[in-house]
Amino acid sequence: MIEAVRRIGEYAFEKKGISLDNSIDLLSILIQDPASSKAYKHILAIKLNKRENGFEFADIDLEDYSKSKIVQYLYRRGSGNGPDITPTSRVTEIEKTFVKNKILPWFQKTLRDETLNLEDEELEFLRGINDCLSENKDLILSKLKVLSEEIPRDENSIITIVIEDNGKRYIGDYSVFREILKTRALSGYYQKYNKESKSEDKICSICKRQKDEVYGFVSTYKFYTVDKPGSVSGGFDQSLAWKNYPVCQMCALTLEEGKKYLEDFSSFRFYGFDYYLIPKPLIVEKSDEVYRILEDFKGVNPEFKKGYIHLLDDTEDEILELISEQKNFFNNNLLIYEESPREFKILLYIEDVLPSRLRKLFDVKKELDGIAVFKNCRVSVFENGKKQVKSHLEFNFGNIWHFFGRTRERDMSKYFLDITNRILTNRKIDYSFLMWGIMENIKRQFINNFSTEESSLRGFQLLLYLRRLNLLENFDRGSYMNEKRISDIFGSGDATDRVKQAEHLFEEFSDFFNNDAKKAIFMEGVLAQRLLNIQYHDRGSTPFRSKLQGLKLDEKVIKGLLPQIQNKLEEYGKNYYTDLEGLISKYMIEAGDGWRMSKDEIGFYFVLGMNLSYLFKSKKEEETNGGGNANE
Amino acid sequence: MNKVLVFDVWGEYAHFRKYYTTTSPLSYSIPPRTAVTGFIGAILGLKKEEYLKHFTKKQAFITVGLLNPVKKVRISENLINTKDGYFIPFRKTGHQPRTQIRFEFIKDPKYRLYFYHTDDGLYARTKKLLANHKSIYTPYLGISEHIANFEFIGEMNIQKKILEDFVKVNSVIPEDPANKIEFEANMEYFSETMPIEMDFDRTVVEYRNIMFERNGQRIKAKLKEFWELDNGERILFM
Repeated sequence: MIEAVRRIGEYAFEKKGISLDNSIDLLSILIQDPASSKAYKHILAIKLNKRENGFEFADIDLEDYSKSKIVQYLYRRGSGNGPDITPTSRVTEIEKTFVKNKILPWFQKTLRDETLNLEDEELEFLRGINDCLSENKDLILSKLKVLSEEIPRDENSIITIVIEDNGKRYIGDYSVFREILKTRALSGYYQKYNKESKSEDKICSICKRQKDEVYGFVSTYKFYTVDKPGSVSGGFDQSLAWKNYPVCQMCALTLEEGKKYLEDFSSFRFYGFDYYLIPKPLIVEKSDEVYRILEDFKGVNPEFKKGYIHLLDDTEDEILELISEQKNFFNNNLLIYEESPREFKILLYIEDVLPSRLRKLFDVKKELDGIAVFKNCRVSVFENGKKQVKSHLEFNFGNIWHFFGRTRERDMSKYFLDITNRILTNRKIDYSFLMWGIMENIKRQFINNFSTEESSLRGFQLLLYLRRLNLLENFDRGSYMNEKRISDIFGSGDATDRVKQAEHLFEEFSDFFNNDAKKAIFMEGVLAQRLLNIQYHDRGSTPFRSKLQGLKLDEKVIKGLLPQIQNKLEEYGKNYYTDLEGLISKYMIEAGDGWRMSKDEIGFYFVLGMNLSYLFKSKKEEETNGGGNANE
Repeated sequence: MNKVLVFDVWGEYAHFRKYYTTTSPLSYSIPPRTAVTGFIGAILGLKKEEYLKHFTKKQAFITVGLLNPVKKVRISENLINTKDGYFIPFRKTGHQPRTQIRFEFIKDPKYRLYFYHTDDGLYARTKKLLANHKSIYTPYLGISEHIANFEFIGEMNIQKKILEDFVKVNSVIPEDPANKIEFEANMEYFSETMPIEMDFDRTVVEYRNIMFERNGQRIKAKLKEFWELDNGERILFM
């Protein structure tokens, strides 16, 4: 992974025309723009005159900020409460910035800092400025205050120092400030925790070449930190961290650039998780093409982005379809992480997903989205932060999140990430585990009298998706229904439209209804829902629901329910479903005893039948009941 | 070199930490050569401070083959928090006694190791210990929590071969511009940069890109040279 980041960094430098061998380029990498927002419009320049024996305070100039002077301002951010890397700082409060935290303390800190190895002449130069600023502290402060009052409230300013020295010179015009910036910016790679970790003439682990110096604290991402001695294997000695992860200066900077590039062009989100998509070119000559895909995607207008089909998350920007259209000249790594200022946790690292794999995932998704039962399903979606009902259930990883997500009661997101990983990398998922997750959700809804339609169809869609990708492990392959044997027993008879409809459905999803027990359970679910609808119409309540035992159903209960449902329908004088009852009996006989199905699996096929029962509505029932559904 | 010791190692889990991770440790899919030297050192009972001097590339010829598909899982572990330099076993302001780290582990790892050593005595001792299923220290896969089992497959004669044709290789393939890989459909090729050789003071002196197939299938390649065993297996040393 770290190598992929380095390659991206190299590409980014090349694109900008930056060469790390050149010291001017190195400076331009290290310098930051002090105007972190457009509100920084003003420069408060403390002007000093250079005299033979030191400096004298001249005045404060209020200048307009200019991007072209970035190298002269020579800014780089330091720690929050301490001075910045050079005496150029953003103003928070004038007194704090000038006196307490930034400008004056910068000189005091620098003059004490022996690690900088400054020449006597340089020290004298800095001491001269410091003396001048300290002596005129109150005057400068009052002038700064007066000038800053002229600045509008919604605009910000930056303090720096300019010196009249054969013309006006900024700190960036003096080599002493430039060298200090370089030393301090780079020292973070080897000086930390009051320790120093570097070595000479060693192999850099990134470029694999021998380098004059390698550093031990290069922490491009915070998944490498040696803030605890325990993190340093081979002796718990932080100063020897360079032995574990030696990085040369050039590679450290390249990695930083790669990180910046990934943040700009390749960071995404799904279901509250952040991830980087890190492409790794397989053919060196085509490297640039890979990165251009990322740039194109981030560059296009938001409306155009909406045109891409989403696989992971419906509501977030997603580049995967664009990637899936490419040839296999690169592969992709997904780094899913959680970041806080203190740490960077890798939640999941998915390695080497080829565009062809993504294409397959999209193809199966498109196939499922075209199926009528999903097209007719009503689901709630969030659009622009508002909940809306949409009449089309499209497959995406939201189906997995629906059952294995994070709710107030429980956090199953660990499973969600695991399933995501398995799908992307073609690893099988245990069928009974999925069934458990799906039925946990459905049973909860059923007990609370909520509609189970969306959940059962989402579950069905998910299982079909995985089945068609051949990712279900321990899925009972069962015995395919032997039409001949059934007709041998019962005679072909005159199949009604509904029976044909059922057989058609089983045929369409033959990979899912792959044995007779599953068909029998499904059809019994259909019948049970028809009965509930009739009860609801006639009595305004559905007392038969209690017989369904909160969907904790097994073979014995299923077999016992059939005569009970039939009996009830007869009692209501509305048994319009003798054809379906016959069909269920046929399948039950074919299935025999000992179905070897878990309660979850039985419950799922049953509830799916309930929710698709509208496909088998009797015309007579519709006329008398108006076709209302009790499961709503 | 005309012979090699072949033995299988396996365990429930393995963790070979990628060197550029500490707080979210990721694992290599196969043991780096440096980990194998530690493994053999443990069998031989060589001390931590001295084993490295016996395993330079000039003396020890080592490579690895993948026998089980690589399955990676993530498990959180509570480690001792050493942030303040020592173990404080109770909670106090700004300090927790433990720190939770999410590890990446290899589940059900199984590897075939090939080993030859120029020192006849050390070679013979390794062979005797392996054949008797004995080890002086406890061998493990990456970290001491993952104790390993091993089985001696045998001592095989080997021959260096130079061939023009593509051949299927049982071991991992170290990157070399002279070698050509034939990428086949339904194969999952992975490559990882890993440490190969350490100096006596544990400074890594060589890193190399190592290629393997994730499911343990043999990679087809045209090679500058390779070694063929009695049983037809073909290997390249790391």
